[in-house]
Amino acid sequence: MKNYYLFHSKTKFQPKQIKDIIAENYRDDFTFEMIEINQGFIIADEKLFDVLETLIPLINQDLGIGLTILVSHQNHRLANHVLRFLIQKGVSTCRYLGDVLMERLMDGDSQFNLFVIDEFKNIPREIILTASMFIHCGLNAIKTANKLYIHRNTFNYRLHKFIALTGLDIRDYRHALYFELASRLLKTI
Amino acid sequence: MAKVILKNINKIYDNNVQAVFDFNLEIKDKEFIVFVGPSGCGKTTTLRMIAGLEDITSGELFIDDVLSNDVTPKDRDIAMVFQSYALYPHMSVYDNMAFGLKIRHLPKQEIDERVHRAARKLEIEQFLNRKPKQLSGGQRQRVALGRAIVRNPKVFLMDEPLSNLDAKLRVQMRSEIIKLHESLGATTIYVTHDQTEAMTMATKIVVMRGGYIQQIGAPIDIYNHPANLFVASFIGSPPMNLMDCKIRNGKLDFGKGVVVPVPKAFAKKVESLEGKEVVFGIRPEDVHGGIEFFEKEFPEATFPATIKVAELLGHEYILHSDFAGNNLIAKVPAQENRLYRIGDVVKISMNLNKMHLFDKSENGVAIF
Repeated sequence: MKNYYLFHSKTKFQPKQIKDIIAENYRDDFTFEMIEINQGFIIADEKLFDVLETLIPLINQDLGIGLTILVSHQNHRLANHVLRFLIQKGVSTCRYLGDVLMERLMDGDSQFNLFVIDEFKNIPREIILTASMFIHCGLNAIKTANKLYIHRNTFNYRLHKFIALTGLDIRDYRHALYFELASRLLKTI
Repeated sequence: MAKVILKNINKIYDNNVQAVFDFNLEIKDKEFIVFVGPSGCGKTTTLRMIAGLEDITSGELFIDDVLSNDVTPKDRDIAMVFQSYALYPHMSVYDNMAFGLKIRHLPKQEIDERVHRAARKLEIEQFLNRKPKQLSGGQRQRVALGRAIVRNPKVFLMDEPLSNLDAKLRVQMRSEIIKLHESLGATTIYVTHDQTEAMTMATKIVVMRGGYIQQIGAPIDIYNHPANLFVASFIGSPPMNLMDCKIRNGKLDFGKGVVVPVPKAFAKKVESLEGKEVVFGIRPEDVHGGIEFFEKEFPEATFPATIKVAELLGHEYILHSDFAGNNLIAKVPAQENRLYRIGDVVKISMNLNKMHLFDKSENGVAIF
């Protein structure tokens, strides 16, 4: 499952140094791109999260680079807004988009809600409905197909379409959590 | 090594939650300071501000007389050991320890000497070629300590470094860290929620609650003279017995007809509290079972108690009984020919020379 690891450091750094450390400690393929002098993103699977969680304090200690990292299914406007929010907090950390949004909502902070809703505005209603039902059924595909009175293959087709359109593989907990929050917000409009 | 001064430090997060309030502390060179308190008391936040991992909202942090609020973590010359024994997963133990030095472009020979010296001290020389996943939890934690030691930092910061270890290893590592501190003489700031760790390791303890310092002092002072009810109940295991009473005619009235006179040494102080409701405190080790001296000394504080729970710890018993409707815990020595069972009636006496009184207000400030 592909994730975008958006990163930022308040201090300037040599990208090669960071890239080499990641390559040394994460043996799978990844894409490393710099957008600005101290900001960029990595595309890799979910296993990189554990590696980055371990590396952040070490990089901070050994290189003096305080990395703030946001893990998102897309490198979109919302993810960049949330990254900026984490940077303002001034904490070296690696966080999932869904976790940050959940905390914000629990604190009564709705600044990201419209961005979340905006992300799904062009997704066909039946696809959203199928994905929501999948979450509602505890990620049980057969139960979801039964509840929607559709064939299992139809369900599979719609689920894959949802993943292709949104980048959210809701069979994974982190993506499911984000979509659960999003679908609740979608119900409010 | 260095001294660290925190002056009026406050930490307020973006959501206006204040984690640390007006924190003032002077840490002398070579001291072993322990921040202790329950979860959410602000101890880790304070440590992270010292490390430079969190911004300081207001106040001043001096490391070796240099104002360090805006100094980057790298330039603070501080080494931090984390709870999760952070190690580069695919690097050998040697490379993990040497990496920070290589980055600083130290000569190869010096790096080698420093790594071997630290490894010898920590008894991990035989593991230098292994990867972290080939080590036990305790060994990994030693490597994490080694990473800190090789840098010869001014200050060591340790954030609950033992909490991921099992109980037996924790005790062993505790004494190893104490030995290490003795041999390095490094200024160390250690965060824990475990009061036993605080008591056994610290030269000075800072007890925190809700972002506020409750008391600063040597372990023995904090134990014998807790500043308030929170410190009295948090430090000590089992905790201090605390019960409400009223001062009536210079005596302690616990209700239910239980009235206990106070020793002469406290009489004057108690007189001035006439009519006031206070909290009486006594440590479990000052509650004795069947010791004639205390029975004679404090006959009114001697009473037959029915044992509700008896916990045998090997060398001592923890006995729970009832005193004026309160649970009273006593620590009594275990003897081979004397077994305590639930329902037994034992003569219990309190050594009132060791009693404490606290204000019954919200802060529960110690009266004596």
